[in-house]
Amino acid sequence: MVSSINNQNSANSVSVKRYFKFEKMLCVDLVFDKITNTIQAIKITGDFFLHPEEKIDLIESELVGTKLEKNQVKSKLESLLSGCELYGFSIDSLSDAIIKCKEANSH
Amino acid sequence: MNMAVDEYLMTHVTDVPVFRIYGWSPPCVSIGYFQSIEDIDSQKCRDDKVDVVRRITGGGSVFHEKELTYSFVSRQYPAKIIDSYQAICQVITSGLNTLGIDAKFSPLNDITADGKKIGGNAQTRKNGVLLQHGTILLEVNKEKMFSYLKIPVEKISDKKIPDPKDRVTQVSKTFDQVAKSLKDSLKLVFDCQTVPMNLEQNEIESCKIISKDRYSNPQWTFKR
Repeated sequence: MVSSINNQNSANSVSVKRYFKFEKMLCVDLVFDKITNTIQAIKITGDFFLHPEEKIDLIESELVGTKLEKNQVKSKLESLLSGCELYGFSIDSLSDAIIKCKEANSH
Repeated sequence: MNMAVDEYLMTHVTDVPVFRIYGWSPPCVSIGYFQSIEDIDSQKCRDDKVDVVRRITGGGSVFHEKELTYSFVSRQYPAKIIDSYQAICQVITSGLNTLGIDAKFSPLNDITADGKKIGGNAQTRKNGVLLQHGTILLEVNKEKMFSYLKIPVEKISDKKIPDPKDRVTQVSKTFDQVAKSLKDSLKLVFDCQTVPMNLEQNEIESCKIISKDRYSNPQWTFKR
């Protein structure tokens, strides 16, 4: 019953899940295409606050297809979070965390 | 049912705010809107007959046993979220101060005493209505609490964090003592009068429908 993002399978798919501690806890569960370097699926969980709350689903779906480069991820998040209030970490921190997930896999 | 009542109040509040005080039986773990169900040991909750509910508010997981929970629902509130947390938490801290507890508001959403957490709060705003609910730890069995709440200390990629068991403490007062202090504090802090309120039977039935459709629904609980 737990919604899983691990069904985004292709030969080039890589799954990474990492935890980060900012003012609040953040977990990024990422699936990306290692050839095109793009997000195939992402789940952002933690004990943070986002107003309005329902925006998280749109953020996760709209990040799909985004190139895993800091500027592109950050720019996309800034656009998606326009008009929202986020408490627990900044857009910059969230962008860094997503990129760190990708980089963690390359070690 | 507790979360269903909070949601019902949110959708039916008039221009008169509502302040609600309640407990939990059986014990329950509530998780925040954005948390993964994997942030708690749901199997152990099942084994120990501890309910699990996902809130409509963000924030972290809470083990509700020997504690007092409040909710505040209003159509009038400060525009800035931090200001509204501060205003409502002042009712809590002022009430606890009258019981000799040096409670302080710790932004964004904690209540602390002597540097340790004695309560947490979470807020949502929908359709011009604010709901803030929070807990005050009357007594805490830390080993038991953290057997249900999984804090991924060992999984943090880049930082050491202190043991969460060291961060919490209890107020060591009874439910009734704290409840009375909050009721008195509410009148003083908000300079208002209060009127007791009970839900009518048809309202209770509406809450049961909300509970069935959302809070007892595995699709909601396990959505993340």
